[in-house]
Amino acid sequence: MSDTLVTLTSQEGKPEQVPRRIAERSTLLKNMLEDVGESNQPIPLPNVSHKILKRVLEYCIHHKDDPQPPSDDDKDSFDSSRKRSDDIDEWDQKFIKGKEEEHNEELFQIILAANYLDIKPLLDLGCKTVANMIKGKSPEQIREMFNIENDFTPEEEDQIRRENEWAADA
Amino acid sequence: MLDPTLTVPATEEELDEFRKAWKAEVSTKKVVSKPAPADKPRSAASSASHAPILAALENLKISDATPSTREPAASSSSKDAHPTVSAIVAPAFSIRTEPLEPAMQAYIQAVSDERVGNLSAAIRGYREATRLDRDIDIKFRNWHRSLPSERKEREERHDPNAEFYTYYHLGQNDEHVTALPADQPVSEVIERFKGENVSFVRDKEGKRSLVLDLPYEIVTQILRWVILRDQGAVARLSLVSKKSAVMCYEQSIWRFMCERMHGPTKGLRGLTEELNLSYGNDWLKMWLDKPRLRRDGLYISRVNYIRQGQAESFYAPVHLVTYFRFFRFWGDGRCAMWTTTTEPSIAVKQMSMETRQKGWMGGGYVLTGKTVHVELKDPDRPRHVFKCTLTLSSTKRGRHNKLAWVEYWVEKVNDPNFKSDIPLTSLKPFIFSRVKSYRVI
Repeated sequence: MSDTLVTLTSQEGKPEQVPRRIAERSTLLKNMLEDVGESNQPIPLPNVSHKILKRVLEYCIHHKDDPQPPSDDDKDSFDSSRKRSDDIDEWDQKFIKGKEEEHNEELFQIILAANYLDIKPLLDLGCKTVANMIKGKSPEQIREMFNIENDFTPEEEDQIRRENEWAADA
Repeated sequence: MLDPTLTVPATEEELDEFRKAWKAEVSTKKVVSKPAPADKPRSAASSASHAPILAALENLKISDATPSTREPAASSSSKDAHPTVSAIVAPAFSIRTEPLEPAMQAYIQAVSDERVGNLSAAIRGYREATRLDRDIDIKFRNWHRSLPSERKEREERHDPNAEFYTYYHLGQNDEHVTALPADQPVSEVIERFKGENVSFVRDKEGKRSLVLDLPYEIVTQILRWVILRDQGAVARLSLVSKKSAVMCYEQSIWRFMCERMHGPTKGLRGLTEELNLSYGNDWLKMWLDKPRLRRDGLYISRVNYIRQGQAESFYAPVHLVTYFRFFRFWGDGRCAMWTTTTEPSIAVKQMSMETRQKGWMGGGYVLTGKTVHVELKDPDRPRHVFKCTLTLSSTKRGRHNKLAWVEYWVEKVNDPNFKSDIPLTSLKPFIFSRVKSYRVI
């Protein structure tokens, strides 16, 4: 039964066929498929472009044998399955890096798609990758990276700096 | 080269002459072999009298940026280029033959030796430096102050441990403090921004902004990962914009940190109760004040002692011996203590649950209030169990960064009546040093 094919239709209306087992890495699709039951109807994914859908499926195929993440309604709680997840494994690192020139845009799209399709490990991977990009950067560099304006007055900036003394804890 | 006749001195005066000439030659050479001032815009304007300073400045950066001068890999990477290029460039101006340069070199080397705990080498270095130049300490201080880019340069390094900087117990300086810096971290600025309902502002229109175009929960999650990796990042993140400042001080982030840190031992319910009772329902306050064993570094105890050497005829040598105890704690309740002469900058990389070195012991710990109970086993002595009690406290420099001995004893696995105390007199407290590659949680 898990070998049946599921058809997903991307934003552009292009169909993509995948084994149900792969599609079910996405909690959204899993729930939909369970609700619908056996059906050959294609599933439209208007929020995901074909290119990103292919990338996401690439991830799902590689991780097809991973244990399903626990359905955590209380996502703030700690659980042992996430205790090692601070580290990014090698394949994931290579996968998320993608093509150098469009790295940021693609990373962004993948995070959005993972969020929409509810693929928790992929969303985590995206967030951790962005976190790593921030690590060790100066405020100015972070602003530039994220295209954010500095909206502080010099006084406010000073005040914040004083507030932050605790963070420089050594 | 020197006049060959000088190289076979006969009398005291000649010897003196020779020394002077030799020193002069050495110092000239050293200075010349530094980068020509032209390749640094800053130095172009300086006059001849600054030349030795500039030359040594280059040097200072080199040896100071890497406290771990002992590691060939770290020290050879970035610094070879300059001196070789400049060796072929003729000195732009003549240099006085004052032995300032070698003195500074010796001093700088001594500073870095002291920093990694190699005291005997440090003393030798300081002595040599002072012999060459009586005022070297003042000169060194002035230079060190005049180094604007030193910090920046360190930040650009990629080796996560290159910035590793150790702290030791230094007497008064480490005494307990009554008021920690900024007891009330969330202040009116943050409150005001909250009230203003600030949001991220796009800097360049039409260009994607990763944080602006992502759902808010995702940005919060990203922030959590950043802080999990490095609590100090808060200092930089909150200076990005008003919105980022508000986000850094949001309760949900600190709740997440507290729950990951204390949840496994305390339980979520117990934690919430404690939050209410002791921390005024403020998760950040709990994060800062509730005792926790820090995992983003090592607790280091340095012990120096003097050993009288074998007296041989006229001289009675005295040995200054330095060794360390390193304590590392993990979130799953395991810990390790390593007693070794290995210097901190090297030990940092080897310290794990799998370290199989002489003097290494592994085991578990329990933190109750401020008291840490530790049980350790030495793989080489399977029939003994080492147990100790320590007290965790904060110092002026930071929180939860000092561990003082309370009790230390040995038990035997198969003899419940055996207990042998280890005297604490020669043991020094542990002081925390952050290690960049270690995680906060």
